[in-house]
Amino acid sequence: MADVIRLGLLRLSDAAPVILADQEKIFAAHGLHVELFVEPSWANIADKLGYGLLEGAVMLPPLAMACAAGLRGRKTALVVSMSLSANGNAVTLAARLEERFAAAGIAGVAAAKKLRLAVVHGFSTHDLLLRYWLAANGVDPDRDVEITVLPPAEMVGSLAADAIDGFCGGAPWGQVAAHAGLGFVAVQSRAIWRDHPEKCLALRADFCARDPAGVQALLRALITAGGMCAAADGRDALAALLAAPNYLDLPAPLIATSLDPAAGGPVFAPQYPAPAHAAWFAGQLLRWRKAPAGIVEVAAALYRPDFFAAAGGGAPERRTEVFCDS
Amino acid sequence: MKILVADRDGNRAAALSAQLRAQDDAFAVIRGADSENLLDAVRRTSPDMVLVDMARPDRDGLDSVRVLSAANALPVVMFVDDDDPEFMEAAIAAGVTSYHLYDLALPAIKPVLRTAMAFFKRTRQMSARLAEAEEQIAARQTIESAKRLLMTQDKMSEPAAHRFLQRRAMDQQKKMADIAAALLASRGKAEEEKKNG
Repeated sequence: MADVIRLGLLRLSDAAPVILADQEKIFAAHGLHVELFVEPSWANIADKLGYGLLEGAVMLPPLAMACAAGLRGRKTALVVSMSLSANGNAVTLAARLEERFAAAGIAGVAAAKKLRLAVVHGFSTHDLLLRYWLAANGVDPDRDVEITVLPPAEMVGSLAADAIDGFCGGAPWGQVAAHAGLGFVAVQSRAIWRDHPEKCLALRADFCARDPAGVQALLRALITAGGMCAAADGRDALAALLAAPNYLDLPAPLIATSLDPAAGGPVFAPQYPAPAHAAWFAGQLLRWRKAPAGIVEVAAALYRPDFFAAAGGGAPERRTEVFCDS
Repeated sequence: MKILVADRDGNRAAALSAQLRAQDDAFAVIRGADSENLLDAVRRTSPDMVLVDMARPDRDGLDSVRVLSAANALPVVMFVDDDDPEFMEAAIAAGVTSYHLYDLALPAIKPVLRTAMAFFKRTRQMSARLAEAEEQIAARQTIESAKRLLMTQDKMSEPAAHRFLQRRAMDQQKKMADIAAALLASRGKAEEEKKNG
């Protein structure tokens, strides 16, 4: 039996490829012994990667960069070997702001009141996309609003308690808030950056060096699982799997809705870890002074499409990136 | 020095706070409100140090403290995750305080860290000892039941039944409780078959 590969994940819809690969024994079919660890926070994932208690994790690219650069906790050499999903986040605002937003946009809403907006982590796609969108609409994310950090599962409750005015979160939390009549989706993340990379597979660099064959098998398994997650006819079954108490613990129909890529849900197809995307994230971290200048080099070294290619993954056709202000 | 104890387990937080206060008069110990978000608690109390339960989902908020302002950088001592002792050990081995700790003077942190670590070590030793005691009681009960079975079914005396189990344990190089359990299982099964047949 191969050595155990320990992968960390959070209770989110876009952890689907890893959960499916485990459930459908795709890892086992590739000769792998993978154990999944559902963690309570991104901080736990980052710390456990740092301490060597995990070989890899479903990760936020900016957090992987922060770990690799030593910006939070212990500096940890990581490899981003594939992207696991694209899109899937949304900025949800409190229902009471809907009228004003419809009339005057986010700039109008922010002018009337200093908004308190939550993101899932200080180093997250959510934070960088929210900032990009605010800035593109003439709202200074550092001065004109307050950005705080909340666990995804606590966003909806905080919105209900008026502790926040809105949040940028992943599926299915925007749907949960809308379903409860507490909020409305102001903008989907795909409308901020079309088909933006969301979660990635981050692996400890020492594990990659020690077991390149294992990494290849892991990527092959996840490419297969990603393809299965992308299949529209499997969405209900996937939602049922994610609805389980040990994962999302939410009603399956709600999750199924959140998984629809046509409605802004996560897209599991594009899996190439594009260096250009790493550069974009690093550039935004610099823009908001969340990282020192060296982050560009760290991000470039972190993304390793060569691992993806070795596992049979193809490079996508060159695409033109489309942003909300382009 | 202001120390924020952010533990959602109220009893544990109270006990740890008492320990810290007893340790040094200079420690001002603040407890986070039960429902309060960790980042909000840090902003409200601006502590010099946070002792935080690793299992808190809002621990992510602490990663932003440094982002918000370098002046806010504070050492974080992570502790206790009962379900995950390996994680805590790794955190301690890594010096737990490394988190957000730039070049802050370490001596100020050491006594707090020592107290916190001693506290949790003792808590863990106590629960280990409790588990051990429970195991011993269960083992003794199994042996007693097996002896009673031998005394009633095989008409052995109590010392003979004891010696019987002891000899088997030595022959098979197993614990006496395991031998007793196996005996109870096999006789119990035979008993059931007799009843059903």
